[in-house]
Amino acid sequence: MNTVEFQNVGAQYGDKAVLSGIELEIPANSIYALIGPSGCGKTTLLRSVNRLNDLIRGFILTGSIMVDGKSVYSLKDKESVRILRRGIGMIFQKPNPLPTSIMKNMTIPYLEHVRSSAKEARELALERLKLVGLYNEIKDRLDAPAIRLSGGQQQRLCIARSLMLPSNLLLMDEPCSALDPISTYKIEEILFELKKERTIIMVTHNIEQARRVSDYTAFFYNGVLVESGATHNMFAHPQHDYTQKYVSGRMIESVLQEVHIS
Amino acid sequence: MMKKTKFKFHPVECLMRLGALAGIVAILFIFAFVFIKAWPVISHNGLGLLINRGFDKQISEAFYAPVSDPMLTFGMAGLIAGTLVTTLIALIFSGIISIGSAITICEFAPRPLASALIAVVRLMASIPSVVFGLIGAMLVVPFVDQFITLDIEKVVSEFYLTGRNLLSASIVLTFMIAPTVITLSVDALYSVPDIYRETGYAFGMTRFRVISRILLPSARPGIVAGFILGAGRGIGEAIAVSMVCGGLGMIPDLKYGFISLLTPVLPLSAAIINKSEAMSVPAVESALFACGALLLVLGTVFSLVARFLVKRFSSGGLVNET
Repeated sequence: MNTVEFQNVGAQYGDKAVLSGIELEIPANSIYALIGPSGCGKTTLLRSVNRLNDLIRGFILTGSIMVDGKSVYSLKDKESVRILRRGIGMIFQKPNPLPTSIMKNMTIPYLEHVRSSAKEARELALERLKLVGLYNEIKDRLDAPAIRLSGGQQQRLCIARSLMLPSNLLLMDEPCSALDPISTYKIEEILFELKKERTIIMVTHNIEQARRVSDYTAFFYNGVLVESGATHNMFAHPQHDYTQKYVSGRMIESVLQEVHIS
Repeated sequence: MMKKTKFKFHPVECLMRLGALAGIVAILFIFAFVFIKAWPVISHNGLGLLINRGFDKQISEAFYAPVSDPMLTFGMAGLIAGTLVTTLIALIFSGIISIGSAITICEFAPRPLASALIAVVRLMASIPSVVFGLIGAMLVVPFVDQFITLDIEKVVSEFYLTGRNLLSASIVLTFMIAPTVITLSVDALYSVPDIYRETGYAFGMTRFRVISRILLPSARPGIVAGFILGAGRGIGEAIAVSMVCGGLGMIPDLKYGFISLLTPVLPLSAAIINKSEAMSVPAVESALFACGALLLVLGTVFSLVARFLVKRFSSGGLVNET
């Protein structure tokens, strides 16, 4: 399982509507790319899945988001929201290692929620670091501050860290936007590996990346879902004029002004 | 090769350099002056100054000693202990108060309340210390006085107990240190990037755990800096402490537990104020300058140790309880 379903989702910050009428189904064990110009609501949608937008004052969501058939926004008590968040890994745009050692970064979320010994946590951490291909690069400085790693290494550390809890759903908010092409390539390799057992929703501004790694793509503009479907289909035969312009990199702002939240 | 720049006279730059230089020279002169004045007592006692006790008695002996045979033997162990213990206890009290307040201001209070609280805290920092002393003498001393019972006096029979003691001095000092620690802790907590909070919440941590496991450790260098400034104030504070400390250079005897907090003390800075009426006698004057010299040394050592600690702490980062 690990499916996510957006049913008529709308979102607003105070009076400002940022999303409306989103209908989208994310199948299990796939990479779903959300693309579109800045400010079109992709990130808001992504951060709604683990209810991280709750932290922002004035955020209101309508419609419903179902993770594994359970409605995320009907969770009433805080504890169930926390349990939900533990099951969902989140990778941010900017690598976000905590200001501590590499190893402690890995073990903090695990020891926080799983009753286990430090030794077990350490073993799992090593396993996860190997999974993201970081272990060989950093094996002799596991206790060095994580902020001394390069940007790409930091981001892989964050991916490894998000795998410390049994999360089958990963949310990635432009995970490679701050990285060089080689680091980006390494992370894309990891994504293929992770896809085998997990579902990944990824916001990206890099159209080529969406084409390379994703199974499905959804194109957003001004808070509405313009088009979605299998990536190869969408890139080869975009149904919508705007999609065609965006994916070919020929989008001109003025042309698209008429698409608005209805 | 770099071209050699021609010397040009910049009046403003010269003025600023002069100002900076004047500051350094002034500090050197203060050190020199205090040590020269204190030299008779320091040279006469040597290390005994730090080890021996009995300052109160020695001052009155020195005051009544004949001019032809001045009395120069002093022991300041009690004063040093007074300074260190009052400051330490005040730091512990204000640490609890300050970190709690800082968390309330930054994480729990709604915006308008938070800015009102910060304004109050800043105001507290600017209250003259004699006012703290006055409030201490009128409110804290009677409050502490009620803890003193006949039983306690029976246990500690060597001196007469009043509400003016270590506990009162520490409480008054707590409220003088707290504004500094709160202000710096608030700044440190506010400057923790939001992404650390989000990271914690995305792990499914509770608000309390996010604060205790992520925010406080991230803000630790700033909080430690607050404690250092607070400790500096605690060591140097004279007038308010002298009004509530009891004025006897006793060393609190820890074997009495809580009762030891009721010992009258006399920190170095308060001693200078307390005994300044006797300064017309050169030996007393020199002894009080020796107090000042010890304070300068203590302050210098403290700031060096603190700098070392800050370096250690800021590279360490989060602690893991395993």
